[in-house]
Amino acid sequence: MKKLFASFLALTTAVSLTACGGGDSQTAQSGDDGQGETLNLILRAGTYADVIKECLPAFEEEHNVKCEVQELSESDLYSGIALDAINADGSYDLCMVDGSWMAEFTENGVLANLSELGYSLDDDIIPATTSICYVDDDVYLAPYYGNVTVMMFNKANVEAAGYDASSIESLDDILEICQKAQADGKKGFIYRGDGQNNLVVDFLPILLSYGGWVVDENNQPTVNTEEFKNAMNYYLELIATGEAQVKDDLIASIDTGAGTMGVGWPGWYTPTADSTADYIALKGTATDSSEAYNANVYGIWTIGIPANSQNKELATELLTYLMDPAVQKSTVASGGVPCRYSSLQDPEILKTYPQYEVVCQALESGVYRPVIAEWTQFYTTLGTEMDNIINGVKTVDQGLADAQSQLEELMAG
Amino acid sequence: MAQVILKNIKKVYPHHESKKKKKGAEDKQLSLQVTDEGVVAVQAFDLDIQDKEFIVLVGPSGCGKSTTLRMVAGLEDISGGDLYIDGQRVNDVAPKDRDIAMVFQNYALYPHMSVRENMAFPLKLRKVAKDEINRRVEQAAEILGITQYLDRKPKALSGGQRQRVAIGRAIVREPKVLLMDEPLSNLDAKLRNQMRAELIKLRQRINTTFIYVTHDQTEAMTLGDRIVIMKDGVIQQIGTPQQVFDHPANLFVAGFIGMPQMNLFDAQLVCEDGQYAVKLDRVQVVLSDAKQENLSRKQVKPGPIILGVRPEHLQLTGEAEQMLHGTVEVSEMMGSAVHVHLHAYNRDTILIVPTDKPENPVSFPYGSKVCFTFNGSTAHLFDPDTQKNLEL
Amino acid sequence: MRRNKQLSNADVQTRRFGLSMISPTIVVLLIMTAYPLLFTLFYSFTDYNLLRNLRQPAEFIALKNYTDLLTDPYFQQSIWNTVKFTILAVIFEMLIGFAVALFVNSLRRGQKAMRTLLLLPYLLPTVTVALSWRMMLSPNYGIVNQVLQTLGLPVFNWFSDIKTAFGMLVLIDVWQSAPFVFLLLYAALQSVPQSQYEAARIDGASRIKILFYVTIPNIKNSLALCALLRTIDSFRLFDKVNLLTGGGPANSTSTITQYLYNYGISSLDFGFGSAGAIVMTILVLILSSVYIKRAIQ
Repeated sequence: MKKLFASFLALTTAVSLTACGGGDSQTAQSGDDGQGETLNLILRAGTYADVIKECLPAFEEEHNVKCEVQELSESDLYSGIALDAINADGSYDLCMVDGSWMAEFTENGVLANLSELGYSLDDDIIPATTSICYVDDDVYLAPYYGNVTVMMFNKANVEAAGYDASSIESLDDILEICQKAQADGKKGFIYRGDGQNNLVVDFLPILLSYGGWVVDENNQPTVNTEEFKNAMNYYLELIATGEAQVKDDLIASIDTGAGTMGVGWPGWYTPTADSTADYIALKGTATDSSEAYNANVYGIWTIGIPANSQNKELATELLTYLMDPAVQKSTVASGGVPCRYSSLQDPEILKTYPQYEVVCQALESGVYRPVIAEWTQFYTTLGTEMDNIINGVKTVDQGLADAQSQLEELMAG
Repeated sequence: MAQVILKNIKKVYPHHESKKKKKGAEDKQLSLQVTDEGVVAVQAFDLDIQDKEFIVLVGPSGCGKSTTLRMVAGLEDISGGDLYIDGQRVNDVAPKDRDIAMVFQNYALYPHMSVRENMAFPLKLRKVAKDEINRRVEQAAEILGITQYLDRKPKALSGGQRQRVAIGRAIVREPKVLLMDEPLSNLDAKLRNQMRAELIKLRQRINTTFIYVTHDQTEAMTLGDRIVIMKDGVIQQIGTPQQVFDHPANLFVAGFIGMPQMNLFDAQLVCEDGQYAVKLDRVQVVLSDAKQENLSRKQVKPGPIILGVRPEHLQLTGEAEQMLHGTVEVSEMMGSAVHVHLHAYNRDTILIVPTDKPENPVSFPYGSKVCFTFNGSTAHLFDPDTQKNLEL
Repeated sequence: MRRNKQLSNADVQTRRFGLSMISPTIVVLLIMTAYPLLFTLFYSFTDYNLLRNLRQPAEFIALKNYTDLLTDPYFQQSIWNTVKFTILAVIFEMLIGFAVALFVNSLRRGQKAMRTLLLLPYLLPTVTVALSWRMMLSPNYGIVNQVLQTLGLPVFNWFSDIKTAFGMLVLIDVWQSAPFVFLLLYAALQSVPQSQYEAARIDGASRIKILFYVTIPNIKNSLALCALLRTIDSFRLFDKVNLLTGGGPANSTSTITQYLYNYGISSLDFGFGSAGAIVMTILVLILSSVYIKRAIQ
């Protein structure tokens, strides 16, 4: 009797455990009955998701669908999409993808071919922003949010140094402003020191202004070049005027005037006529007399459809809807930044949000981060060495030499 | 000189204090005095202990004997009165400066030290020279018979051996006063008897003042030079074992000392022709001369009394009208005697009948009638109201 | 004969009953522990990358993951960081926890209230603790810097300064875990027989001597257990590091788990990550083997 009971217990436990695991066919069951389908969106939390959420109710009503939105941080978004990509039946129908992940995702077939689904990009979209959306001639992603690096600054501190938004020309000017602020007892340049990705990204505009880049046209690493070293030395001088802070602290510092300048993104801060801070697009010159380069780095948030989505047709309609020029223009009021001329150069909009002209310029001449599948490992390695250099653990030469050899190994393998 | 004088010692536990107290003190059956200050655990304790005397504090659980001992040791604060050791008032002196040593009921040995280290510890603390330490430790070990255990740890020893180590740790100090708090209570009966004998032998080799606490009256009787019987925090009687046995000061002492317990009867004290006699049922016994003298000196009036006669002093008689009688409840064959439990005169009575006298019966079936009597020299008389001995 | 048969039947029955009683546990252990462990071990010998696996199956690369791991100077640094952190954290936790336990044990009143209050940091979720401390130590609106400034003491950019980041992690972990040590040792202190203290007092021991000769020897086992538990736990430190410093600045706070997260998990190189997990398991086993051996004896 007791034996029977014991074996029954054991069996029940084993069975209950197997019941836990079977998730494959359970996720996207909803909606097969035609009535009230559900579309699942996985987006980047913040302004980026908020503006999409605003557009959803109209779509939901017209197509009689329900849209569920998941908002995640950048690294969670990346792993969220990646982890779901290995399932036969995907949980998501629309995903927001950072341009720098595109190579890795398309190489491994994570995204659906939008051209095959009948979508194409029109001419209103700023051409420079579309280069990463194509693999050969097929469209895989649509540029939704025009994120591009800008230089944030505190108006009062800049004025005190004798400059204003229009007169900041070169990196030397920026250094001068920050040094003056430091002499005044404030902090000069604030950068993000938490994490390799942030370290690298904040540095890229500076690197570009010196004519350098992390890879050459064959995607081989060029972190050991003369230009890179010059940029690095300048950067060390610049950050010596301030300190490292996390994103929220950085924004707050510049806003309150405790800090003076820092690399930022339009989505972080919306300047108005009486806000204490503002941003400009970098001109791309290192000194007053040197060559001007394209120095603004794209961080464009694109939208695409996972290859394993179970609702591709409906998702395509949603994507088309969200990318519609009129719909995109309507998001500007809530902080959206479309990659469209019709939105960014609209006179009505420019009246209220004059900085969009700056953003438009930046988007026209922006530079994408290297489109390589190994970008994640690339910036991890480079960022680690930059961290060492910044904190004095290695010299510039030593750190960059180590980075170069490691990256060569990475790109070769 | 290691005289210990306790003068009007008092111990009160204030009401709000909920410190960890010894288990015995929380006995709900206590009738300790409760005042505004708190619970009075010990009161009006007066005792002069002579140098090298062996004093035993004895009484039931919660009577305050351990508390008194701990006050002498310095482990409890003295609420009132004075304590003198060797002529010096030590109420506020720390335990380690009183030159006393204590043996605990649960031995309190240091578990991680060997026996030798345990015994050497107090000497090491006092910075005694190494060879002196070794000499004393080995001497104590030899006295207590634990030399072969010197390098063992306490957990490798039996209860009796541990107790000896505890005693050893106390005697190496060569203290003025040696305090022992129920040291034999944790041992089994046979071992207890053995250790009792050892303690008496030990006493002969260690010449110091002993204060010994126990709840066992046998230990008290066999070990003490003088016994202090306590109840509810109050001293009932102080005297030598013989004194308290022969002349118990009150009913409590009478019932506490002596095994088996004294038999008590409701009787009458009568006085005829100037002679005191005790009348119980049909028996009237004239008291001995010594008792006559005591009673007349105290001018005791005749009247109802409580008569106490020890079981060994009750005499079995044959069936006779003018004897006391009772019905048998239980009879215990003890080997050399039979303990007969009777129900007589509304009391439980025990009679001890030696088996070596051929005229004595050996079988006392349940319900059978037994006749007995007492004599005038072994009768104890107590006032039914005050419970005090009428002769003292 | 019959008797023997009956006895052996009873014997077999007892054994069978015992087996069937522990079979649920065995099932759970096999599925939840043994299987994932073997899986991880298997993957550690391949170059499995989650996304690349969609197009190209993972290849068997034998010990390459392990050699890469062990020769990577950053991994070696993370091992050193972890060891440094573990030693410092455990020492401080034990000292503080023990001191507090002694103090609370000696209180006459309010022991229960103190016990509850002191335990609170340990009950909080780690994420809450990390974020609260980050807020307090923020260079902008953090209360710590404000107080230091008013007192005229130097302020630091606590988590981004290579001089202070490591110390801060130790501080926060000690703050959260010392209550655990306190609780364990407090319980152990309660079981020390009062009479030993009294015997020591009579023997003439001062307070310090009583501490070393009576208190500590009696709670030796609890001290050892506590140290072991805290060592194992500190060794695996991840959430505080990840939330507060991400391993920086300059890899100075990167623990083994943080390193694995950066190089093995977020880059989706699960093969490499598995190798790291195996290495870490072996290290933790070595650490606790000393205690396990003694416990089995």
